[in-house]
Amino acid sequence: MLNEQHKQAFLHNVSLALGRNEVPKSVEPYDFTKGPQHHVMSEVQTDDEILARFKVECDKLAIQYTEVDPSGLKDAVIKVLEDYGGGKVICPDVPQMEKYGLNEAFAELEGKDGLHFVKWEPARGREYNIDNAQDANIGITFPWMAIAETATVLQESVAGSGRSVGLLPITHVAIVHRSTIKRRMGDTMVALRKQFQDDPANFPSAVVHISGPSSTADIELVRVVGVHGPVNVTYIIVND
Amino acid sequence: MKIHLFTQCMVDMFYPQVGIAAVEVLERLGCEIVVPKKQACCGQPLINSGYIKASKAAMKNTIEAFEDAEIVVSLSGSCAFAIKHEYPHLLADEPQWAVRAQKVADKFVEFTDFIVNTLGVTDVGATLNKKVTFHKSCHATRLLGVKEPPLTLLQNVKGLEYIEMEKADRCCGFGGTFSVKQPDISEQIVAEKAQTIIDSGADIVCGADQACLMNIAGRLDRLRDRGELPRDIRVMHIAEILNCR
Amino acid sequence: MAILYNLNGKEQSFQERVKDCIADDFKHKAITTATDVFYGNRSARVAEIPEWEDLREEARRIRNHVLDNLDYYLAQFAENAEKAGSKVYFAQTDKEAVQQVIEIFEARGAKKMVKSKSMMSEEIGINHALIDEGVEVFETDLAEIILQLNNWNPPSHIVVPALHLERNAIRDIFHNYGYQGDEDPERLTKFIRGFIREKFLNADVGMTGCNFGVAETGSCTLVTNEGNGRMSSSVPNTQIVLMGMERIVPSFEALDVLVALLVRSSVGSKITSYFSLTTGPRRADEVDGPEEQHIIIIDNGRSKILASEFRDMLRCIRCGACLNICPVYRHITGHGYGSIYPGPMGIVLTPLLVGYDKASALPWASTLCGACSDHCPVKIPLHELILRHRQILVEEQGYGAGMQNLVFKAAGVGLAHAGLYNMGTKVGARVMPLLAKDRKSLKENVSLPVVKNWTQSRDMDVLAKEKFRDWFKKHEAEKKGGK
Repeated sequence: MLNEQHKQAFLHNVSLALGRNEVPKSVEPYDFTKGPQHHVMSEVQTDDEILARFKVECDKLAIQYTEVDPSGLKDAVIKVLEDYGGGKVICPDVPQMEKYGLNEAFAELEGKDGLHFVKWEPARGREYNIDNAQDANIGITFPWMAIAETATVLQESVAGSGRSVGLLPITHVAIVHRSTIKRRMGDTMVALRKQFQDDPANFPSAVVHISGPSSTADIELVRVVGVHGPVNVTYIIVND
Repeated sequence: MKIHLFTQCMVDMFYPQVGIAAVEVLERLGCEIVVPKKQACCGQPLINSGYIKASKAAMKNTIEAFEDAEIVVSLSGSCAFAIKHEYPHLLADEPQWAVRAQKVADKFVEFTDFIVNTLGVTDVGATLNKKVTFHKSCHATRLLGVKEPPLTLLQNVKGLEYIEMEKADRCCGFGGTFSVKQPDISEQIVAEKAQTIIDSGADIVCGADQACLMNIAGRLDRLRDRGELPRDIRVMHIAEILNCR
Repeated sequence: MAILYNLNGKEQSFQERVKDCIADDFKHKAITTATDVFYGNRSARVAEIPEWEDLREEARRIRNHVLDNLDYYLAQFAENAEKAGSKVYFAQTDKEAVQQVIEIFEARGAKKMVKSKSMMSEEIGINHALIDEGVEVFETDLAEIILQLNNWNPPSHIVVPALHLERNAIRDIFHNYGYQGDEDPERLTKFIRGFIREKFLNADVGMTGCNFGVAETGSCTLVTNEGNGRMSSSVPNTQIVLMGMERIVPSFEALDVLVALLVRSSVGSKITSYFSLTTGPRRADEVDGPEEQHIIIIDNGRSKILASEFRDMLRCIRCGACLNICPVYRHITGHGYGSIYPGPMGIVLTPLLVGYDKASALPWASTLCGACSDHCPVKIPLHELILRHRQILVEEQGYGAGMQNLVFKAAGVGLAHAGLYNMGTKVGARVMPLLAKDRKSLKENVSLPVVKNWTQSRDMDVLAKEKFRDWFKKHEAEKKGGK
C-alpha cells in the first residue's frame, strides 16, 4: 500500500512537471512504421542477400561459422565440438536435439575422446544446472532468430535452455536456422512485439542478443576476448 | 551589387589588412561596399560569457548599424553566427527588437559563402604558389554550416596546393573568453591545433574566423620564439589568400 | 560515490583539478588516444549509414515523445513489469532509492552483491551505502573492479572508466588480490574472469542499470560487451534494476533506432557483444535467472529538469559521444570535472542534479564549439544548454559578481558604442605597443591580469596603428576623388 502511495505521488509529480494534473488515460501512440530505419540496408532484400550479409558481418566480428543442410548438422556439430577441444558439453533440453538426432549421437560419443555430455535439467534445480554450465567447456543453444546486419543471434531463455547454457561455458555453439535470419534489428523487434502481443504470459523472461564473444578494451584499450561470458562463439547455420 | 561589410571588431582594430584584402577582393568582383560607421562589437564575447543583459546594447547597436543593408557580408563566422542565430532568441523578451534582429540576421552571410553562393564565383582569379591548409573553424563550418565554399575558393587559386590538416574541424581552443578564463585548457587545445598544422606540411594556415587565427598565430609565434617551429608558417585570413595575385 | 567527488581525498577547485589532470601524462595521453579511437570508429560507422542524420532526428523525436508523455509511459511500464512478475518501486530521491535497496537486501537476507556498470548506481552512491550495511559488494565490469580494487578510484571516462591506469599499475593492484602474472592485458583480464566468476556464483543479488525500459512489455534492457550485465541478470537469485525515470521507450521497435545510435555513437561498433532484454523474473519452470526482479525507478531531480527549459537533456542515452568529440574533455579527462557525469553532457546535467552552488565552475569548461551538439545521437543542443547555464549563473545566481562583472558590464557599454569603441581602441593602439618589447606582440613576460592568461601560452599581437575603418574612410575618399 505504501508502495502504491509512493507510485501515485511519484507519477503525480511527473504529471505536474508536464503541466497536467493527472496521468492521461491514453496517448497518441508513436508511429514506428515511417521512420528512416526502414531505409537502412535496403540493398539487402532476398534470402540469399540476407545470408550473405550475415556471413560478412560474422567475418568482421571474427565469429566462426559453418553452413550445413539439416542432414549434415549432426556431423557439423560433432566437428565443432572437436575443434573447440571437446570436454564437457552442456546441451539444452529442446525438441531440436531430438529432431536432428543429436541426443542419439551424443549418447554414442559419451566418454569418447574425453567428451562428456550433460543436459540442462530444470527438474534437478538451480545449483545443479548452473554448476554444470559453469565448468562446461562448450554450451550448445538454438537461437530464436538472428540478425544479418550485426551477425547477432537472439537467444531466449526457456525451461529447457537456461540463460547459463550459452553464457558460462568457454565456447558457445549456436545453431542458427537460416530461415530465422532477419535483415535488421527492426525486423526482429517487430517479431518480438508480435510475440508479446499474441501471448504476453509466455513471452520469454530473457532474450539476449549475442554478437560475438565477450570482450573488453578496458586496459589501455587493448582488446581482449573472453571476459565474463564465452571466449569463443561459433555459429552453425542450418539451411532449413 | 551593393553590400555592407561586417569586418568584426578584431579585424578592425588588430588586423586591418584582412579587411583591406576583403574590400579589394569584393570590389574586384564588382561589389560596392559600405562600412557603417556605427559598427562596433557585436557583443559575442559577452553573450558567450553569460552576460546577455549586458550585451543588449551591443546587439541593438549592431542591428541599427546594419538595418539599412540589403546584404551583409561577414568576415567572421563566429560573429555572423551570434547575429544570425543568437540575437533573435536572446532579444525575445523585447519583441520589437527580436523582429528587427531577425531581419538583420537574415541579411548576414559569411564571406566565402557570399562569393560562392551569392555571387556564384568559384575562382576569384588569385594566384599563390604555396601549400595551404585551412582551419575549419567551429562557427563558420559546423554552426553556420559553411563547409564547401572556402575549400572551393582555395582549390581554384592558381598554384595553390591545398592540404587538409588532421582534425581540421576541431576547435582551436579560443572560445572567446574561454581562452583567458581557462588558460590551461586553452593552451592544451591550441598546442594540439598548432601541431596538426605543423604536421600538415603547409606553408600557410588560413581560416575564415580571425579570432581563431589570432589564437593560432599567437601559438605559432610562441613556438617560433622558442625555436620549436620546424619551418616558417604564415597565418592568413582566407580574404588575404584570395587577394594574392 | 554520489555525483560529485574529490580525487585522492583532496578538496580542490576546478582549476586545481585541471592542472593535476593535465600534468598526469599517462592519463592525459590515454584519454586523448581513447577519444580519438572511439571517434574514428564512430565516424567509420556513421559513414556506412547514409540515413544517419535521419536516424538522429528520429531518435530525437522518439525520446521527445516519451518525455512529453513520461507519466503515462512510466505508469504503463510499471503495470506491465508487475504483470510480468517484477516488483516495481518509485524513489523520488537518491536516499529513498538507497533505502529501498537496503530493504530488499534485508527481506532477502542478502549479504553479497555483484553489480554491473550503471551510472545510476554511482549517482545514488549505492556501493558505499551497502558496504556500510555490511554487504559484500563487487563491481564486475573489468574497469570498475580495477577502480574498486584501487581504493574506489573514480572513473575517468563513462564508457571505459579505468583508462587512466597503466597496465603496470593494474598488475600491482591485482598482486594484492592473489594475481601472480605480468602486465599483459590478456592475462590481467583472465585473472579477473576467474576472480569475478566466483563472486557471480556466490552472489545473492545482481544489480544492474537499465539502458531502456520498454513500457509496452515492462522489459528492462542492458547493453554490455563483457557479459557482466548478462551474468548479473542470469546467475544471482535476486536482481535489482536501477533505472532513471527517463530511460523509457514506448515499445520494442524504438530499440532498433536507439540501440543502433547508442552503440555506434559510444564506441563506434555496430553492436555490442550483448544486448539483454529481460521481462520479469525467471518463469516458474525455469531454474536460472533471478527468482525476484526488483525495479527501482528513480527521479532524483529529473522531474525538475522535465519541467524546466533543460528538458532536452533528458533525451540523453549516456553514449559518451560528446565526451569523445569534446576538445576540452580530451585534455582534462573525466577527473577534471569532478563529477561522475563529465564532458558536455556532464556540464549540462551536473548543475541540474546537484545545484549551481556546487557545480558553478563546470559551465565554463567548454569552448562552445558545438561539436557535442553535432555528434549527439539524440540531438541535444548541448552547447546551447551550456550557454544557458552561464547566463543563469551570471544573471540569476550572482556568479558574475565583483570585478569581473564590472569589466564585462563596462565592455558591454564600450563595445556597443562606436564613439567609445573608437576612442578606446585609439588609446589602446598607443599604449599596447609600449608593453611589447618588439612593439609588435606581447610575450610570456607580460604580467597584466587577464592578458597574462593569454600570454602564458601564446603571443598577442598589438593593436594596429591604423584601424580598418580609418583605412576605409581614406579608400572611399580616394575612390570618389578618382571618379
